[in-house]
Amino acid sequence: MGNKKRRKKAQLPFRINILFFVVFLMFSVLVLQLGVVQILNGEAFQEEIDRTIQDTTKIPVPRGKIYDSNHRVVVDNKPLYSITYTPAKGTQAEEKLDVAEKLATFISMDSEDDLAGITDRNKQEYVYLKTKEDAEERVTPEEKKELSNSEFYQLVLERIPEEDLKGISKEEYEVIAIKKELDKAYSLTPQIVKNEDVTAEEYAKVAEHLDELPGVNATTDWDRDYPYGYTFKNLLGSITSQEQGIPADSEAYYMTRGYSRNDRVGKSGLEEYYEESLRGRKEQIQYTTTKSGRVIDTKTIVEGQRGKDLVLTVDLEFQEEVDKIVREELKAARSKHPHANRYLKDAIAVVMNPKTGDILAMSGQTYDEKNDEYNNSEYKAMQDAHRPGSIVKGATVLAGYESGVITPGQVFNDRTINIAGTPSKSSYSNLGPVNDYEALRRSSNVYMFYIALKMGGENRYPFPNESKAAFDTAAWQQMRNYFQQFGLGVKTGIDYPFESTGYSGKSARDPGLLMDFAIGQYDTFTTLQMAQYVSTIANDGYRVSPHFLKEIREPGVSDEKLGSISKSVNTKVLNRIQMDQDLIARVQEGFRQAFQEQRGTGTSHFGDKDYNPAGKTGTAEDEVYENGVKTDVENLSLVGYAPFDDPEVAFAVIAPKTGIVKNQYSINKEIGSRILDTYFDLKEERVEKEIEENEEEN
Amino acid sequence: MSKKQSFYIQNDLIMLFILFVSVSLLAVYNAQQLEQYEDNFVLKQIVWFTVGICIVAALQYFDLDQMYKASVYVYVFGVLLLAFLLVSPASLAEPVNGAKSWFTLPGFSLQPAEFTKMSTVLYIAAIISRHKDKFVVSTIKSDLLLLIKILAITALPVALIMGQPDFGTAMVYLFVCGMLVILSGISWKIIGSLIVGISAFGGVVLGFIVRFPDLAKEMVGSSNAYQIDRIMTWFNPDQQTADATFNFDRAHMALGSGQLFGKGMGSLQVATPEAQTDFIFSVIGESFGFIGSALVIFLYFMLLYKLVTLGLNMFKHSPFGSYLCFGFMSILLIHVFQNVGMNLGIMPITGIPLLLISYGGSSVLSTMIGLGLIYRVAVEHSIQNDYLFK
Repeated sequence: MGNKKRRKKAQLPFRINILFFVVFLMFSVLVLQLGVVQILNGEAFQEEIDRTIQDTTKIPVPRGKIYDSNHRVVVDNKPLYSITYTPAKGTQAEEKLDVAEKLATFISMDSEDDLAGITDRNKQEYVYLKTKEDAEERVTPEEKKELSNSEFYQLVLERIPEEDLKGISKEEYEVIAIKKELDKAYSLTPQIVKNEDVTAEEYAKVAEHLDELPGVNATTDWDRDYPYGYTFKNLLGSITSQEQGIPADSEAYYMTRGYSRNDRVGKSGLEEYYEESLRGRKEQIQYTTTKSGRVIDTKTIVEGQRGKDLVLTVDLEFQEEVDKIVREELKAARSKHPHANRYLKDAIAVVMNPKTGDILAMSGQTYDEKNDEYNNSEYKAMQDAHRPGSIVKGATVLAGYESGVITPGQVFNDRTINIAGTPSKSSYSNLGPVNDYEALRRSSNVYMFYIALKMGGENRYPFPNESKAAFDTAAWQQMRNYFQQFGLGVKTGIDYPFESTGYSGKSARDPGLLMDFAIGQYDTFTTLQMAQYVSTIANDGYRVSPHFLKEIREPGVSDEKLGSISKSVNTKVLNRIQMDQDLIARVQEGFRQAFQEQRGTGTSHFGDKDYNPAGKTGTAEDEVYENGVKTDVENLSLVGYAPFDDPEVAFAVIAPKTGIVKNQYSINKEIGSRILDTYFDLKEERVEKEIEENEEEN
Repeated sequence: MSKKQSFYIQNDLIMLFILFVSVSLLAVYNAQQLEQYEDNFVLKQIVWFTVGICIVAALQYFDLDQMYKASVYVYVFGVLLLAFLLVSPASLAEPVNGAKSWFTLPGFSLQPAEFTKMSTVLYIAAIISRHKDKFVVSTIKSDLLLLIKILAITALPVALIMGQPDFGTAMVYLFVCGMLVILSGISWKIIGSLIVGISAFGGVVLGFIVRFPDLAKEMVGSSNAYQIDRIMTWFNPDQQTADATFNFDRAHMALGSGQLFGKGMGSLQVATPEAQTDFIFSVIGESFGFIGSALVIFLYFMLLYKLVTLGLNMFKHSPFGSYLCFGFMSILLIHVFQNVGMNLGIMPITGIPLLLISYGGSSVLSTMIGLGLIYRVAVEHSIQNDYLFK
């Protein structure tokens, strides 16, 4: 027994020692493994943690605005507000409901569409969240034991009584509608909760309470707004919508320039041409996230800046007036001779500053037969080319001087010329002997014919009746070269995505055709080219490129004030014509006489004006083919400038395809004179206003 | 020990306790910096510890004899509490992750299984001690009787806990039970055959689970299927679902990235779910590195050592006090090894807190109750020593 007792007493310490040794071993294992995890593998774990992902988010900025020459807004940005929701990872349904309830107090979401989209399931979920405990008690614990979490949830929803769903108030419906939108959002991805008809007030309320609305953001998008309606809108162009994004055919071009696919870009007109300035600089924010999606750093890499503003050379008030004039005159011409002028559908006018190239107005009106209405078609000034008629005679005379075939003061007897194998060629009547001034004043065709003949190498004068004319086809190139110095037949260099250069006829071995060319009856030119041509003459031979843009402004600090000038468009002289100043002066004088002196072709409309105008009328033979039937028509054109001694405004007008009829309505001269009248009236008005304002200030 | 000093001041225990509280508060504070949860855990933890200290103090009013006598009532109360939990409605005991382990009362939650650990150990200690009084000479027969008693006492709460179901906590009970069986002096023959039997059975079950996880899931039912997942994670972490390994991966990464010296206070980089409770050790690892973590492990080792020596020294005065120490030591040991091992990836993932450090009212309070009992044992041990050397 004693032995047993001893054994027993020794038992406990022995076992405890063994046990404690085991404990020691267990703890050693822990420390060993701790060493493996922390010291051996620690670095690898740290690297894993430091592995981050960097995402750059580009935030679009508003596009630049466009102003007219008097700093009136022509294209504005209309803000479109939108409320977005970006849930954090693991956002619970209760939190979303909380956000929805708060949001419902700030925004309304009760449109028919919103409410119609609410399903029973949405309502059940809402009632469940509101009465969670009661709802869950409808499923007994025994039932619950058998169910997975999602099955349980499903059953809880199903057991929500109908009365509860019916008892949902109108306000609660709104909450449900909002929550429905919130539920669509994926974590960390913005979802638009409302972007249609968000009022400025709703936007402001949400923006003020952002701190109470986790994940909610109030952002603005924008739309282009045109305070002047359709005036000049064709030329301003348009931009793509967010859905259209960048044009698919030039995707690579835009992508390399930092655009996103859904960026809105200018797709036509000045919006397209000045895209680079108008687009602005997107704000770029770089998010650094860890592997677990935790954002550890937010850095603005590029400060955003809204697009720069354009200030145009165009005076919108004047533009409106010119549009009105052109439309009224087109109407008047059409109603005076409805049948004869049935093909007269367009009237086009370009008004520019001949010295600087500033486009002051560009107007086109087109009659839409189908709808019996007149539409703006300013772009036709750059796109549609027509035979200009006698307005080109200034260039012909200068070509004559320069090529040496005529000398200043040269006289030709204006009589019908008959060349063998060609229709006889004459002025509108035989004018008798005319010198260069008279040739321009009275618009002698024959004078021009002799220049053309001589340039072709036919030096007989007077030209023997019905004989064959010598003709060197090199004269075509020579003549066109001279014309091109005035911009006729080449690009004017306007700041616009597209301009036509007109159509050049065949350089045929036929002196008759060159003679047609010399009076503007062969090649076709755009109205803008005609305006550049007359400006070149007015500007003492300097051809400047016309432009719509006056300056680019930095974004203004406030809406009312324009920003500082970023870039000003300087007058760009493309070339100076070869002819000496005294020769140019003769043409200028001829133009003056055509508008101001007795028997001048434009004197009827310009003779009594006090702004000292000069210019040249034109009537070109043209034809219309309809159902294979040819109808002869005329293009009535006019170029001019004023004041004669210090030109500040030049214009070109064309009304193509007027009927050949007695007492034809002088649409070209009506438009031209009214444009100049309006220009100087407006100028005077403004000066008076300025004086008044100055007086008031004093 | 100086005579002037009261028996009620146990320097070593107090010292260790202060160290643990400091580590706990630092770690919980650090975990809170991750801002995953809105609660102020540090403040609450301080409250729990304060309440715990009061409990420890209160327990000193009872001597070991009174505790011995009360043990059966405490045990029965604990079992009843567990039974009541099972039949409680969801409003009183809301299931969390499919397990009904908590009384959810307004303001706080209570996990009875945490408390019944202590009550069960208390009662087993009493039973062993009474048995030893009765059978001074142990025979196979008496040993078997003791074994059956211990197993029966353990089986009751374990069955109720399995019913919640809470596999992890039940395993803790079984471990503690096994430890006490070994230390109760039951013959090695019995223990040996028991171990062989259990390991054979366990081996077959584990083998079955690993080979046929889907079948095993079917057998335990859908609500228990996650237990199978956890065991699978243990054996083959790569093949488990993201859900099952996510928490572990984060904790493991956090722990490892602490490296030798740690990242210091307030510079945690990895947001681990449940960082303040089950994965608090990963926070310690990330904050204080290998050195800090190893020190914490050493701290536990010191506490265990203290419990073992106290239990050993107490044996001749009061086997009851001695077994209390061993029981509490077993509880502490399994929690520490399982929890730290889980963080280190050498033990399966179970919801077992790191006692004395993890945040949580139930675990802190129940541990403090255990500490209170041990403290009383230490006090009585000092008193006995005093007699001896007088």
